[in-house]
Amino acid sequence: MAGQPIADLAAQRQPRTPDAHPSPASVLAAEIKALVEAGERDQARERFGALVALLQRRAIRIAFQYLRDAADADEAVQDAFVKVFLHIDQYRSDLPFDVWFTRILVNAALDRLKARGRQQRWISHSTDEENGRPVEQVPAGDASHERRLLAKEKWAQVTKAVAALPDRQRLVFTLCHIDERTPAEISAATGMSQATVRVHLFRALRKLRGVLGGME
Amino acid sequence: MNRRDINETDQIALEAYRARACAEADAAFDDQALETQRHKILAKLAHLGHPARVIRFPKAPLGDINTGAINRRWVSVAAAAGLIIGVLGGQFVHLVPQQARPAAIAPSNAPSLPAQPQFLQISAPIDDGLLDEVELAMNTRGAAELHALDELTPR
Repeated sequence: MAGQPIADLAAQRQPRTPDAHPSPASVLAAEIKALVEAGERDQARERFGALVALLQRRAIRIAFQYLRDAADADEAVQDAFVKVFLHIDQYRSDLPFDVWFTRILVNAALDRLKARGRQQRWISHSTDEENGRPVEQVPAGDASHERRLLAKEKWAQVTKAVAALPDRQRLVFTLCHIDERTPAEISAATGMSQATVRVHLFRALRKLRGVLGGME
Repeated sequence: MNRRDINETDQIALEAYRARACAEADAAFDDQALETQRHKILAKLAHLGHPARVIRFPKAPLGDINTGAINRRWVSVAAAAGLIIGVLGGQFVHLVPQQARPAAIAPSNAPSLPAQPQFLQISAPIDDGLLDEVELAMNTRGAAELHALDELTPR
């Protein structure tokens, strides 16, 4: 972990200022809100399909990395989009829609996490070994294959370490390093203060530093 | 935490982590899976605002009710009404004046006498035919054996 500290990537990222250039999602959301308020629900639903297509990939990445389960991530994303449409009248058009949506998505993921904790406490985050799959044999002299296996093993360690983080640290870490959100946006999406977000980021990175080293 | 604390090595590792994580999620949810998910979401939204359909408890149409059932019902009602009227009538009997009641059912306040045996006043009709037959029997031959017995009989 040597090397000089570099500038904060999150701070370097372009701040999403809705006043200057609202994102396509914000524009679309404002349009849908206007249609719902005008009573054009069918048309609003059609436009909502475009909004889903716009944000779906990003949402599933966050949910999947946070929940580490495809079915749970699928349900969480669906719940989030349904809630967005149900409460679109509460969306403030002067604020970035992405942050509002991220907040709803985070809540949906947390709900799914609680439900899973209640129902399936005995299920741990699975890895290939835990699933009982046969361990791949490394052919002698196959350096590239060995490298792939090592990378796979390394990735398993990283995901296991991320999954072992406390919920809030994992959430902040996922939003920052998967969704590339700034601490200010994470603060707006999670309701935590920016200072709290930074503390969680620091602690998460400190715990992961050992396993993240050597990631390729 | 200020991310200025993150050194270049960590940044590289984090970027590698992000790339790997996104690739993993994209592999788990390909375009077809996202399309399916989008359809599910829109299908859920299409059902919003439609109240749940309530299935009524099945009942027979009015035309199927036979008249026999109605008649039996009326008979039951009439029997019940008769029973009620009878009970109430029995209660009101005590309010009826004593003179109006028949003597046979009036309770007697006089001291009761010991019961006397009642003998039937049977009138013996004179039956000439019977007497003739007795006289004839006395005079016949077979009756001579009965004279001794007749004499022993106290009179």
